[in-house]
Amino acid sequence: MPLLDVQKLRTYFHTRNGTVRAVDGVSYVLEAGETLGIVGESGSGKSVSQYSLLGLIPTPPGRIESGCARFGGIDLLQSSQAELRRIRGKRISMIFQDPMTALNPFMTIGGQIIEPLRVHEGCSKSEARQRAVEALGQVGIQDAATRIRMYPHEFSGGMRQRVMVAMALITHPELLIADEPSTALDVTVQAQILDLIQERQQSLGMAVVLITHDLGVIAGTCGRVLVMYAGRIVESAETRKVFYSARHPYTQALLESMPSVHAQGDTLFTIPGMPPDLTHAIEGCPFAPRCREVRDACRTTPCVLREVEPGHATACLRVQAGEL
Amino acid sequence: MTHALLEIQDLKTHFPVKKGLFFGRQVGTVKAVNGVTLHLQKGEVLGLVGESGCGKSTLARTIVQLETPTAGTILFEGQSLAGLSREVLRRIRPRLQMVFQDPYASLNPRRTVFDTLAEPMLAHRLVTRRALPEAVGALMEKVGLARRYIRKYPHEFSGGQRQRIAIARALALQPKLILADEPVSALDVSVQAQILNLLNTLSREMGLTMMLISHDLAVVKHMAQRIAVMYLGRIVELGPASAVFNTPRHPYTRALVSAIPFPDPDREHARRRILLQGDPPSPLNPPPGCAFHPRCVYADASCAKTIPPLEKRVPGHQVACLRLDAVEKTPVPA
Repeated sequence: MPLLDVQKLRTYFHTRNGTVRAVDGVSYVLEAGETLGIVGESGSGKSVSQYSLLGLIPTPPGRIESGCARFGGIDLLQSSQAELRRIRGKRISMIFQDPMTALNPFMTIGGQIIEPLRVHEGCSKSEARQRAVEALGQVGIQDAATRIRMYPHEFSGGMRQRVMVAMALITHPELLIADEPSTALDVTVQAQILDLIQERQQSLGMAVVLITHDLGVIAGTCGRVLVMYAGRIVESAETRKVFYSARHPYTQALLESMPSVHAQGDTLFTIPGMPPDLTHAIEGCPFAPRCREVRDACRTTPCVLREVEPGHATACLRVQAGEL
Repeated sequence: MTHALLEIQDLKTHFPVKKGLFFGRQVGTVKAVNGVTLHLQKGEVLGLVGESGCGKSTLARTIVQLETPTAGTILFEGQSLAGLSREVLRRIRPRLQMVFQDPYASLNPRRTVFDTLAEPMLAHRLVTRRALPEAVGALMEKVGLARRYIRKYPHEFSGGQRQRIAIARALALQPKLILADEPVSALDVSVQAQILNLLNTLSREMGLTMMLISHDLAVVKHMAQRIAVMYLGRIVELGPASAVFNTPRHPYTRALVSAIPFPDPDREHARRRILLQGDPPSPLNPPPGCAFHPRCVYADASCAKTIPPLEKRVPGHQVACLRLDAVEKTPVPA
């Protein structure tokens, strides 16, 4: 049985300007211990698809319209807030993009790290403190016994993100959701944090969902990738397949537009147009208006993610029909 | 004698740090730019890379005189920019323009595209009022915006389109030099490519000289002929783009290049990263000697004492490192 099985998840935001279909029918499974990358541009629904699982969608305006998310026999989407509280920070942990806003500026680092232990495991204060010092040491913070009494503003960006990692992993979760964990950091620090997450993943044996807009980060860290566009998964495959034999025209275009794959000074490949307005219902393929392989049928035929070869699924109708 | 378009000599921009609410006493100095020497030839695109807080933006802001330099000289077309009267500076400014990072913050939300683009041309009397609509329209087309958007407001545009407006505004005064400060880092990958292509075409067609500032070496390598790498207020390496990228010599540049994630799984798994220890130090309290020495694996006792000068290693390639001989014995990381 997979660790997480999400089926037909739909999360809509009902705003004054219309209903935004942020996540529109997303299905995927995650095996224990694996690293799954979710890549897409801003507004593609990659974060909302994960926040929905943990009840972190502001309601209203957000609403989970349909779907189920089985995590070890429980449907996360049907769980009460009380049930979710027992899972969040214990069996599923999360790391956010900006470690400054994710940490409480009024609490010491130590106070924040021991909170999950006190809440979920009922540890005594001294035992929790002991484990917090250990956890900080494991994420490479030296002199942890002193640092534990400091406040977030006394830490640099990279150190704060290490604290976030320590806090997320202190309860030994089965699943870590990392939402752009290295985007706000400098390149050299980004490399450190990604390395740290991978190393902790191996020693704890947990599964990781890594949300990012950077295909380079995916290449080095993930075993499997979901490519999202306009609230849907358009391609899903093992990482090497996505990079070396992408089938969906959007994935291909995304890879071609990266500066590092071009010779110096060459005109970069660009995708014409803009992502669709998600307040309008999309009849056919959401990428059709920008697609170089588009046919008339693409604009009107609803498309679903289908396997085109074992382990490699795409939502492109023309690939499914064997035309591409 | 021919001059470079821009010559910067030993430029320093320091900021006092004050404590106390009203009559603060100075408790320290942030040496944001601390002795930078740089020349830009006409028509050249120079990339400036470095991590946050290394002073790259302050350097750009000092060049366009948005900050007052503490020491050093800036010569633009052979003329010194320091200590000029506001009148003279006003005549020079059109030739030096800046494009900022965040097109959401750099455009006035209450002004239409027309207002935004017309103002600089009117202020510097480049165009008569009657010819304005035509001039603005032509400018919009140059950056790939349809003329029919002329009466629209910034909020009606996407991020990429806004950055086009910001670029058009910089071009309105027919500048000689454009300083683009992280022009694509707020944009999505596919939009980034559009803006980079636009900058590339413009610099080629108009013979623009450009300084492209970015933390992303891949972006800079794509655009620039030369790359300067900054660390804590100083340039540590300066050379031809391909040389800096493919055979970096300074230990910091090596780590920077090795940290760039590359969209190729096989290559990513095969490579061995140089992982730097710790974070870049605070510019308020920089380490003595070479600012990089606490994070450098090659550092010895001399590095903590002497500030390494930027020296020519091979023609056109300068490096500021005392331990270069030791560094160059180890192969360049993949």
